[in-house]
Formats: sequence, C-alpha cells, structure tokens
Amino acid sequence: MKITLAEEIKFLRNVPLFSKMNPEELKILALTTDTVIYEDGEVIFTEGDEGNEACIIYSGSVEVYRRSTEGKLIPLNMLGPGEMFGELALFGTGVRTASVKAAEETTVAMISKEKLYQIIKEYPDVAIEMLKVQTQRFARAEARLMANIKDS
Amino acid sequence: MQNRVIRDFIFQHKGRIIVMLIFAAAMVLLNISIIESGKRIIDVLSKSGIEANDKSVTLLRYCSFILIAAIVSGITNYLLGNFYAKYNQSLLCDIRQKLFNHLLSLPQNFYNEHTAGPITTGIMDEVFNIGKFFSKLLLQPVINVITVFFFGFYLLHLNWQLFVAGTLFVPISIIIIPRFARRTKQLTNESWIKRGDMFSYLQEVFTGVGDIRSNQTYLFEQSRMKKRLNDLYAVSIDLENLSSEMSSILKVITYLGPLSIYFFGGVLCIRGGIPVGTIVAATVVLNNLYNPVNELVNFVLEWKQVKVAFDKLNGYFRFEPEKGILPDKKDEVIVNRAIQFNKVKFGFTPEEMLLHDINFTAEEGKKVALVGTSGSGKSLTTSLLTGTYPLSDGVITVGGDNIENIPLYDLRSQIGHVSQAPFMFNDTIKNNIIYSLLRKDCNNGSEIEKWIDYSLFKDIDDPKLLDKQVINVIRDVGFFDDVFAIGLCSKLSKIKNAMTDAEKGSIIQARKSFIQELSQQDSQYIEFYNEGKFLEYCSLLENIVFCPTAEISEIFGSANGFYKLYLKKILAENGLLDSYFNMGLNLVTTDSLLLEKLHKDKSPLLGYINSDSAQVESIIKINERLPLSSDSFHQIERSDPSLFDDISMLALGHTSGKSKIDLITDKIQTEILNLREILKKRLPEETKNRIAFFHPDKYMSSLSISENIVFGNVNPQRKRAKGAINDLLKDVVRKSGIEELIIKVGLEFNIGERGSKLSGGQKQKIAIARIMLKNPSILILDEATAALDAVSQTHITKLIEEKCINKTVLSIAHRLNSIKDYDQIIVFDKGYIVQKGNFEELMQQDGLFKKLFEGSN
Repeated sequence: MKITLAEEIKFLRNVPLFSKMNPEELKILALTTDTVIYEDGEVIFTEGDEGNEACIIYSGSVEVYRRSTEGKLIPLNMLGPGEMFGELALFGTGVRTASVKAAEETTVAMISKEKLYQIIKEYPDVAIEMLKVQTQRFARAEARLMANIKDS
Repeated sequence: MQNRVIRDFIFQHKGRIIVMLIFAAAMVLLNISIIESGKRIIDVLSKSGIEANDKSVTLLRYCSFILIAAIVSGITNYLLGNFYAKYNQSLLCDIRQKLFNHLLSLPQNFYNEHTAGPITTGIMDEVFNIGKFFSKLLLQPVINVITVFFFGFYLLHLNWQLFVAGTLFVPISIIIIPRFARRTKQLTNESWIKRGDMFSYLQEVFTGVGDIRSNQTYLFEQSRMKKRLNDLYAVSIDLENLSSEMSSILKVITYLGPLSIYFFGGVLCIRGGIPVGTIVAATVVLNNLYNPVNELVNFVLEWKQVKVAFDKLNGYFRFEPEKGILPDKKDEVIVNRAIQFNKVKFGFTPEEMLLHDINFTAEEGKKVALVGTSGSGKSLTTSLLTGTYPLSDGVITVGGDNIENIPLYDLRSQIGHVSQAPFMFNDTIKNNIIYSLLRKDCNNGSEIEKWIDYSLFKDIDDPKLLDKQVINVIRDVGFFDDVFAIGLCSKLSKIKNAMTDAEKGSIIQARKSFIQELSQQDSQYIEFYNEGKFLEYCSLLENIVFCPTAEISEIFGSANGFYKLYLKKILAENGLLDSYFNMGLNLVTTDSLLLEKLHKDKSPLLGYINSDSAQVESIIKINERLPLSSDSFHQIERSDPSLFDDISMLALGHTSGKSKIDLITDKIQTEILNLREILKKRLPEETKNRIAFFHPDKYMSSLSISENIVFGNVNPQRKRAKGAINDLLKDVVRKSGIEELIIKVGLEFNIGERGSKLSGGQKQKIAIARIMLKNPSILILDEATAALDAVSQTHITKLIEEKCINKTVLSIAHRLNSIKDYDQIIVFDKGYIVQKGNFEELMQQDGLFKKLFEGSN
C-alpha cells in the first residue's frame, strides 16, 4: 500500500512538469509532498473554496467539473496519473475555479502553495514547465471555444 | 495603638525570649571561665618555685575544665540556635498571615492607591528583614551588653591600668554612629522604593508579555528594565559603601585596643608590675570586648534600616479594614430584592464628582440595563451597590434597607457580580466554578471542598450531588462541549485519581463497542494496536516494547534511559545491535548530503521535509559528529560509544508511516515481532509490571481518553479518516453513557495561571457558571458576555431570561441588540443619567441612546 520514495521519484521523473529536474531535486520534491489517498467519489476540491494546495496524481483518476447557475453539473475534464490539478488557485485569486472529485480510489502527492513557491524559487525550470502545460491547456480551451462558435 | 501592631508580634513569645537570654548569658560565662583557666595555666607554668608534679596536676585540672566547658558551650550554642530559628520562623509566619488577612479585608480605596509590587515586597522581603532583625538582632544587643559588662568587669579585675588602656578608644565608635545612622535610613528608604517599583514592573511585564510580543517592544522593555536595575545598583552600592566605611573605621579602632594594652602592659611587665599571663588574658578579653561593641554599633545601623520597613508595614496596619465582611452567626436573608438609588453622588475627592444625582429604581425581578459611552460611570454605579466605596451623598437601598445598615457579608451574599476580567486561579475548572461557594470551613472533604458552604443550597449537602449541580450549570452556560472536548484529550497520568477502576472499565467497554461499530470500510482508517502486527504509525521502539513512548519516558525518564538499561543488552544478545546501528547510519547517510545542503543554504525547504522534524534535526546533528571517512564507520562502536548509541536510537525513533525513507523490510518487521516476545520474557518481573503494554483490556494512563477508546493510529493518508473516526467516537461515547464521566475528567483540567490555558470566552463562561452556582438574588453583569461569540451570547442572554425570573438584573452592555427586551434602560453620560425608559421609548426619543444604537449597528 505504501509508495516507496524510490517509486515516487521514478514517477515524478516521468511527469512532464518535473522532467527537467535532476535526481537530487526530484528527491527534495518527493520528500516535501504529502501522500493522500481519496476514495471513489470523495470530493477533493470544491469550487469557490479557498485553495492552498495543488495535487499530482500518482494512481487513479479524478473528474473536474463546475456547477452551472441552474445547479447542473458540467463535467470539464478527466485527469489521470502524472497530471496536476489545483495549481490555478495557487497563482490566481486563491479560490478554486472548479470542483474535483475522485473517480476511483486515487492516490495523489499534495503540495502546498508555500512549498511550491519555494521550489520554483530554487528550481525555476519547474515554472517554465508549468507555464508550458498551462499554455497547452489554454490553447486547447481556445480551440474548443472557436469550434463552439463555428457550430452555433 | 495601631503603631504598636508589629511590636506586639515581637514580644508575644516572652517565654522564648527569656530562655534565649539565659542561654546567651550562660555562653558568656563559659567563655570567660575558659579564658580565666588559660590565664591560670600560664601563671602557674611561668611561676618558679612550684614543683613539676604540682604543675602537672594544675595543668590537668584546668585542661579538663576547658574540655567540659567547650562541650557545654557547644550544646548551649546549639540550643540557642534552635530557639532562634523557631522564634524567627514563627514570627515571620505570624506577621505574614496577619498582614495578609488584614490586606484582604482592606477596601478598594487602599488598592487604588497601592500597587501589587510594593505590597508583595512588603509581605515577603520586609517582613523577612523585620523577622531576622528581631529574632537575631533583638537579642544581640542584650547579649552584647551582658558580654561587655562581664568582660569589662573581668578586665578591671585583672588590672585596672590595662582596663583604662584597652578601652581608651571605645568612645570614638560611639561618637560616629549618628552620622552613619541618618544616611543609612535615607538610603534604605530609597532602596525599598526602588525594589517595590521593580516588583510592580516585573509583574506588569510578565502579565503583559503577550502584548510585548505583539507590539515588538522588546528593546524598549529591556531599556526600561536596565534603568530600574541601574537605579537599584546605585542605591545598593551607596549602602554597601556606607557600611564598609563604617566597618573600616571600627576595624582600626579594634587594632588600637590591643596596641595600647601591649604598650602599657609591656611597660608594666618590664617594671615587674604584672605577670605575662595577665597581658595574654587581657588581649583575649579585649577581643571579646570589642566584638560586641562593634556589633552594637552595627545594630544601631541595622535598626535604622528595619525601621523603614517597620513604618511601611505599620502604615498598612493603620488602614481601616471593611467591617462585616465575614459571616455573622445569624443567617439573615434579604427577602425583597428591589434596588433604589436615591440622589446618589460620588467622587474620590470632594472637588471632583464622578457621579451626579443618580436616581433610579430597579424593582424586584426586573431586568435593568445600564448603557452609555465608556467612562460615563456605569461600572462605578454598580460597584457602589456592593458597598465598594462610601457614598459622597444620597442613599442606596436594597429591599428598602439602606445598604450602609446591611452587613457587607449579607449584602454581598445576595449579589452576583460577573466582571469583564474575572478572577481565575491556577486550579481545576471545577474548583474555579465552585469558587463562589467556598466561604465556610466545614472540616470535611478535600482541601477545597471542605470550604463549600452547603447552606447556600436548599437541597444539596453531598459532594456527589454537587457534581451533578456543576454539570447542570456548565450545560446551562454552554460550556458543556468545551469541557467534554477537554475531557476527551485528558491523560490520566497528568490527573491522578480522576477515575476509579470501574470507570476505567467503562472506557474499555466503550473501546470494545467502538471496534464493533467500525465497519469494514472504516477499518482502513485505523491501525489498531494489534499484538501480532507490525505498526506502521508507531516508532520502532514503540513496536518493540509495544507501548507508547510517553509511557516509556514516564517510567524510565526518557527513551534513551530504557535503551541503556535494558534494550541495548537485549539487542546485543540477539545479534541485532549492528543491524540497528546500520539502520540509523542509513538514515543519516542516505539523505544527510541533501539535508546538509539545505541546512547550509538555510533553505526553508528543510522545514518542509516530510518526516518527523525531530528526526531531521537529529540526523543533521549526528551527521556533524560522523567521522569523515566512511571506512571508519565500523569503528564507531569502540571510538565513540555515545555516538553509536545515538545512531541506534535514531533508528529506534523511526516511524515508517511518517517517513518516506524506506528502511523497514519484511525481515526487520519479523525481527521486531520476535523482539516483542523476547523483551516480555527478558524484562524483570517488577519492571514489566510497571509498564502498561498495549492490551485490549487495559486502560493506558499515558494516552488520552479518546486515544484509549480509539486505541489505534488514525491513518493520516486518508483524508476522510479523522472526521469519520471523530464522529464514530462521539456516537460511541453517547451510546455507552460515559459522557458524564468524560465531563468529570474534563472538570479536573488545570486551567493554568490566570486561566491562561483557556480562551477568553471559556473563562467568561466559567465566571458565569460560578455566579449561577452561587445563585444570588441580584445579578450584576458588567459586560459579562463581551468575550463571547454571537451564538454563545444569545445563549447566555436566554439563560438569564429563563433562570433569573425572580432575580433583579443590572446589566452593563455595549451591544445594544442584546438588551431589547429589558424592562428598563438607563443611559449614562459623563456621570449623569440622561435618559430612562424601555427600548421602544428610547428609540423614539432623539437622544444619546438612539445615537449609540445607530452607531453600534
């Protein structure tokens, strides 16, 4: 059940965000995160709440969704192993923009805002990689928006 | 008369003083007889014409006399010392107790003028000095006079010329006394003032240390302390200098005496007038003569110092105490509780009136609110009702009687006063709540409970029923949940005798139903203390001994102590010593480079490293002590045994579930389970009986009550675990009917100095509970709910409405929403009543109340 440090480092190396980090840096990262297990259906973040942590999925998957003004659930995204979520709140207003719940039993590495900031300060490459991922997501969202406009 | 209070204390043990005087005189006589014997020996020895045999007999006779005299003198000295000590200590106790009793009974006026610092130094230091002076130094001059008289007479008897020569210089010391005495008195006075000031300051600083922290005034306070220390330093140095000046002069005089004896005696001796023995005896006598003279001079100076303390304490005693504050024989109860203020005026000085023409009536059972800006005289008005100060003019009546005619004890019995900053003493919650009942020595029950005045209740006369009453009251004031939470977290090792064995049994029962209630799903949330299993969330040491580290530390002083006493040997016997050393070494070396780098860079990441912070700290420390070359690691056991032990202890402190470092293999787990068995066999029976091992049927004093029920480690990785376990725990506690037991334990919680371990709201709830228990017919609430949150405040307001139907309530309130339903609202402004009426009436007027209300919303 317990994830060993070696496994954790191996895993983090394969996460694009941290691919530029050397083994020692990865070790620091692994040592500073908390491992948390969520059960199937357990809500991890709730839209509108204050957020101070980001998560990297080790195993399992999560569903990202928002609630419409009428109260309907709108699924936004499914994320799986190696992907990060919750980091937007750490750089923006500090409020969760969407809700996240576990779609099965999911193990994540949780990192707090202050720890992540400190890591970025000492290893700026992480920030560049994060920016890349965000840009990709942004581009995808823009494309989807354009497609929607064309459709209508 | 009052002037003589202290003097009366001093002379109250006349018998003792006389006995001491007799002993002292005996000692002087013995001393003289020893000197006389010496003189006779020398005279006989130096005389020619006496046979050697006769000389020997004389020698033997006087020597044996000196021996006996020495022993008797020793015994006398011991007895005298004993008497001194007893007299001194009982004098101290007497003065301190009487002074304390007196101070307690003084009116508020006294405390407006005197701060706690000087009063404290008064009770401690100044009484001490007075006691010391009068027990030791009171006799000293008497003894000294006796000594001077005897030795002077003896010297005169020896030779009158030598007497004149020896005492020629004595008058000098008498002439210089007055000059020194005056200066001493002045400096002592100054030093007392400085010391009192220092005490006040220290008290102020340490009660306000939180504000110093938040205002960051460390440097400022340091400089304030420095100034006070400098002042005290200057005065003390002056005093010391003065006394050394004096003693130097006395020293010179002391040498001049023998000088003149040698000179005149020598001349007489050369002319054949006196034998050598006489000169020797005379110098010895002179020594014994000068010492008491010097002591007499010192006595005068010390007296001047003590006189200062004496005057100050007498000043306290001269203050008139309040009358009628202790219970009278007759139990008179005021039946009617109506309150009336009639043209009341008050000021501390006649020139400056603080309250003008206060007129109002609070009828029996009515709720009256006093409102107004701060400093408008509301609190002062309520303190006049309790007879705190004499009125300048007008009359206050309670139940139609002028309060000046009601004994203060009876008046105050009827009034419950909840202040903004209630008095909390360093004791349990329960004792703080029952504080309002401790008024009569009933001679049975525990140290505190024997003081409970059961006549205050109609139907309670039994401590067990009292517990029920206390629980009811804390439920009423909304304090129940707090005490319950405190009880759940209490460890019985900290509060002895809080539970009987049967009660512990009911906790064990709750533990069993807790395990039963735990569903399959929830069982992932918890790792039970299972005898046959390796525990991830316990340290290796806890795993081996199979009990909490707290238990080990409590019995053996520290985990280290247990290791050295037993565990090391057992590990060695099983060939595991190296294995644990290597595990520790592994912990240090695996990450030490990394940790050291972070440590060197002072990187905040070090603090984030996900394992026990204590472990990280000791890893860094041990790393600094490691030899540079890893080749020499195997020599550590021999070269640095303490480092070897520390490294092994590091491994034993490792908790696998809390750390990401992989250390514990399956093989190690099996070894540990084996060790668990072996340890139980190898520990001496007596030691084993002292340790409470994890056992499903045993209560563990080193764990809290909730830990005893849950009896396992909650899995920190599962987010849901903590909440789910807590809910289940509450459920089980309720179903098992142990709620009151937990409350009982919670009530035994020590709240710390001035209640420092509680929140402001909790302290306020204790104060209200205390008054509810006293059940007075008039209630004064001086912003009593100001520290409470809105929910608790509404709760208390409701409680007052429900429980106080027959009580007259005077409430000072700033949150005007809470007094809407009051029968009457009285508005104060600058010492005048400016408005009166109920809420609606006042809101319709365009007055101060409307302004205050709109301002507060």
